[in-house]
Amino acid sequence: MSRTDFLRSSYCLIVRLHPGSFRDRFGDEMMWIFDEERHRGKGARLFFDGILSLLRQRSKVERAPAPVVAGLGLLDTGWDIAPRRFVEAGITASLILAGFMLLLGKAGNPTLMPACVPGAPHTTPPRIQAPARISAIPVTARNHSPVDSGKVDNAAANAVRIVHAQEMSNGLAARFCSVN
Amino acid sequence: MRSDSDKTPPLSPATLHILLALAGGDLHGYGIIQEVVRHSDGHYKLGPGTLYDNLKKLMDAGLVADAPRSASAADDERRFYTLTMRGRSALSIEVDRLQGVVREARSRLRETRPRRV
Repeated sequence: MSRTDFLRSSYCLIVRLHPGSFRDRFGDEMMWIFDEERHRGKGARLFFDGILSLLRQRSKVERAPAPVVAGLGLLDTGWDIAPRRFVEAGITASLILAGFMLLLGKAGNPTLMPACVPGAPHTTPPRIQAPARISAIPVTARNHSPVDSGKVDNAAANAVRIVHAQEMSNGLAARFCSVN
Repeated sequence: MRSDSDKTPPLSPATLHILLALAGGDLHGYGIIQEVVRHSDGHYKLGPGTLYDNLKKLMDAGLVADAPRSASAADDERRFYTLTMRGRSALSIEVDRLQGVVREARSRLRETRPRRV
């Protein structure tokens, strides 16, 4: 199933989850507009609009006095919420999660969620070798915190920390001597 | 004596844009979305969920109604929506209210002079 087919099926499910009166009245038109916008590459935006609409319509139905309890009616939840509502809430939450994952995949940043990008190769970052001698590290690198650079391995980082601490202590000692 | 504007609460942005779009003529749902984008210079975009949620409210309130089908559009499956007289009146009241807000804002901006730093 392609991404656009998945989006359309998900949107169709969202429309079907709307209350019956709303769905019968506007469901076909919502699907028609979704198809029109999908051809323009704007389907994902309508996906979230549909979820918001579903939540709005469902909250209105829950608030309205409803003498007839829909759903299984076998499970006592302790609230005036039909068990079917829990199933719908689960489906809605799954759709929201799937939508976010799709958007992240669309952003095309494999470093955030590599598994969300189909066909993205799994690569490990290259390891940078430590220099043979401490003196090989440029002075500019030694004057800055080695932890921030992120380009030296642990052994080199510890060595640079020692040099850095020595330079600081030398500087302090020189300043102390000159003051006294 | 209270005026009509006192009885009518301010319209939401989505409702205002839909009524504005329909003030130009009868439109179907997608036509309303496109007209809103056009008259707001692309700053306001309605999704179908938001559109039909607000259309339902407007139809229930009697501000918008289904447009009668013409003979030429009889084979068209799409529903067209039209602004009722009540809807036109509500839009007019809202525009007057917004004009008052703009007038007040302008007078306050004229009164307030920028401080010298």
